[in-house]
Amino acid sequence: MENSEEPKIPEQHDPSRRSFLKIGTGVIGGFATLILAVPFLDALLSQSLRIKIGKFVNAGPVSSISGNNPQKVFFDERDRDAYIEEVERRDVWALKHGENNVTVFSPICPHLGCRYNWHPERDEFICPCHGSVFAKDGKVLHGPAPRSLDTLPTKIENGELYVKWERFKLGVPKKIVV
Amino acid sequence: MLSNIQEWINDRWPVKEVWKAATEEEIPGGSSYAYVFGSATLFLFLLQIVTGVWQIFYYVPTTDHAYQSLSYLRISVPFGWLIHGLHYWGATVMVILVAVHLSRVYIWGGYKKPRELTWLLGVFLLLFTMAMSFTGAALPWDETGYWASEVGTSIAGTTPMLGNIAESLLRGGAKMGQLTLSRFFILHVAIIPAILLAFIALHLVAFRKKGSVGPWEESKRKRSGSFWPDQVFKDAFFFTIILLALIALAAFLAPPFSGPADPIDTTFQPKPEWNFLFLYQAIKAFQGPWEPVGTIGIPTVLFAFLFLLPFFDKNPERSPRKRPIAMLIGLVIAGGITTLTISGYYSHPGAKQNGATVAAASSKPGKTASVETVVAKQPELPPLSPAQKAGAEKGAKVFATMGCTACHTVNGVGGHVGPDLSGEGLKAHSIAWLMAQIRNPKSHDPKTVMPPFTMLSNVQVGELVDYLTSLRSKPVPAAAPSTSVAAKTPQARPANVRVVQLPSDVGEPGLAASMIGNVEHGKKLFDANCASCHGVEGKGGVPNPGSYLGTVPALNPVRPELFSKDPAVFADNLDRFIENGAAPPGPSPQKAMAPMSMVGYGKTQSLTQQEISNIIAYVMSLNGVNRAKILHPGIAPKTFFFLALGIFIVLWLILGTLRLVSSQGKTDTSADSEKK
Repeated sequence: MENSEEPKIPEQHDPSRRSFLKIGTGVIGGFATLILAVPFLDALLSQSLRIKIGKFVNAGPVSSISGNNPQKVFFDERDRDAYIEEVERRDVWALKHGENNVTVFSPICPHLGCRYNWHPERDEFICPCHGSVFAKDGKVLHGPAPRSLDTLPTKIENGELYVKWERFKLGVPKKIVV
Repeated sequence: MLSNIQEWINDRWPVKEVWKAATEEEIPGGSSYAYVFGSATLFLFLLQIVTGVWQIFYYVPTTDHAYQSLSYLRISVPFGWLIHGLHYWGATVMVILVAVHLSRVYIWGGYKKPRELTWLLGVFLLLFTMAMSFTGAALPWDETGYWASEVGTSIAGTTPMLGNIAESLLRGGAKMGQLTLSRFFILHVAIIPAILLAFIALHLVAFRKKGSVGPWEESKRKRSGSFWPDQVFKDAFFFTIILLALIALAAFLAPPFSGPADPIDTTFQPKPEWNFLFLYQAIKAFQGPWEPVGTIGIPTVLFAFLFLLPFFDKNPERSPRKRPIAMLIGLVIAGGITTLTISGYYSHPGAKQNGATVAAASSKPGKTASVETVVAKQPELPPLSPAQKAGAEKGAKVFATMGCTACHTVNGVGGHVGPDLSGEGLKAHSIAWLMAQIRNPKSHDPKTVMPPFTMLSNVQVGELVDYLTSLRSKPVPAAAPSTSVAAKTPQARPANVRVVQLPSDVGEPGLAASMIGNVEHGKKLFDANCASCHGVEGKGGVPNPGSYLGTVPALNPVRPELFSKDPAVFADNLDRFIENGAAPPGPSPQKAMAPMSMVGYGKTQSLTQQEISNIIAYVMSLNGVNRAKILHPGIAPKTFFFLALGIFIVLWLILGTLRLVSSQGKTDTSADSEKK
């Protein structure tokens, strides 16, 4: 039923107009994409890069830590994984030098994020993933780890140890909080 | 009628043209089994889509449901084992097929002008296949996948400049969690497959435009064959073999259950998927500041080589014999990757160190012995304060009920695995020393079999220390008669009292009961936490003098009231004890020898639910029950394989006979025509 038999009236065949339309379409399309792409990418990225600020959490009395060797200390902390709020079990390695002096290491290997273990018979920390070996004071002895074990901020009040849980960028020589 | 419908559709949608474009192609030198790998990859990709979609009918991409929903699919859904098994092994075979296809094209010189773009698109496909393999491994949220992703995303994070953004973008935050799983899921099921489909289409269009490359010898190129149906038949035949192999793998080599992901676990030794093992191995050669050379550099160089290949190798010569440099480079790369993969497969950095550990430990003299002789010389001891006396009384109860008496004798009562503690107070160990000994015995003697009593509260440990410092009598000679009497008189109980507790007596099971653990991992955990009381391999025999039973119950074999052939029920029964602990019935607790009781490992968080699930799987395996037993297979895996094999053999025989008959007919007619 279209009026196909009627002669078609051609649009004005003006070359400058045509090139304007081409550029115009491109610009419109480009901006429409950009105006959505920036917020969409930001939605995926910004909150991922947000740094979580830790709080000092009670990790138990200093007296329960042995003085000779590093010891695993567990404590619970309420934490959020995105929208899931849960009590998370933290595990840290504590090395006691005195009643008022405790070094606390993050349990995460600074190489690529595995959990290392203390091997008392060798007096060394060893990571099972890629075989990094650390001395008692956290210094790298062998293996691929780029830096010493990460220490966590601590304070001691009334004989109780408080630890601030933090995570650090892995695989780089500098200790950077993430 | 049918042709009318065809006409009608064709008038409105170019079916004929599309079919022609897809199938009509002359292959120089004719069809060949050398060319089947590309189409086999395509068929397998389609199969991966189907098995993948079928899995999503059950799989839930959340950190608390992923592992269990997949386990449910695998053991409780009819043919779930097949769907998951095909997908799991399909992913492995996919990588192999892509590699073989790429090698074939490389040897034939198929990347050369005018097929450079086909090659480039193919290299992208390899890249996306690897991305599928990486993202897919995380989805079960099991130990293997969790740790591979932890390490893999950390590697991405070490990339100069963009590393931080790449890592955070993949993880959705600083640490692995729900957002990581969500991102891996959407990448694996939507984004990368969409890209793959688009690139496959581009790859095929480019391939069709320039046609097959064919043999390099001019003489062989004179013959010609067609893609449809000659080559497609060979492709289909080859794919039936692949399919049968996949069914066989799913039936005879079910993917392992590596146990639910446990972020605070230190006993698991993570390794990447096999197709990333060469990188895993390469990392070890580049240490310190050179590490990015291994993690980022090697893959970048490999892919740069593949991408740039058609542009620096412009020599039109395709015969491998006349391309010695190209063949040598190919051989070195393929050989290097294969060697690294195999050595990566057999390397266990942790295990090696443990071996060294044992040797080092046995050569060192015992530390504790020397410490004790030194402190034993101190003569004067301060008297106990009233507060210490009160603590000591409570400590005595803790000592009697928390398992200490199983190994330690006090005043002639108790076991003899550990030292007699009757005179512990005379040794003048410091409070801190005793606390450390209770909390972490290995800090004093690495070889000690004493388990760490991390489940005790600080108050309880304090009371125990008060009790131990109050013990100042001379040790009674070993093999005290009261112990053996108590151990040998379980029948001293009243007739109406139960000897042991039933699962229902101790409490509700935890989450661990519903998770399918890993047997080997469970064995490690059992040896560290349970063997000191339940015996090596759960064989029992460790005395518990205060209980009616006289010993700690063996777990191998387990008591009949706990046993069940139904894995879910058995796991439930075991977990009730591990979660809540148990106090075995014994004579009145007022007596000196209350039975030692088991701590609730789940309730006190001494072990994570994930760890408990592994221990359950191990204990069940000791009793001949497979925690991961398929409950509803549909058709039993092995039967199904032989069924499929039978069907395909019959099919091949029929086709072979038909072929033989038809070619017989052809030779007859040609003979006839010759006669004429």
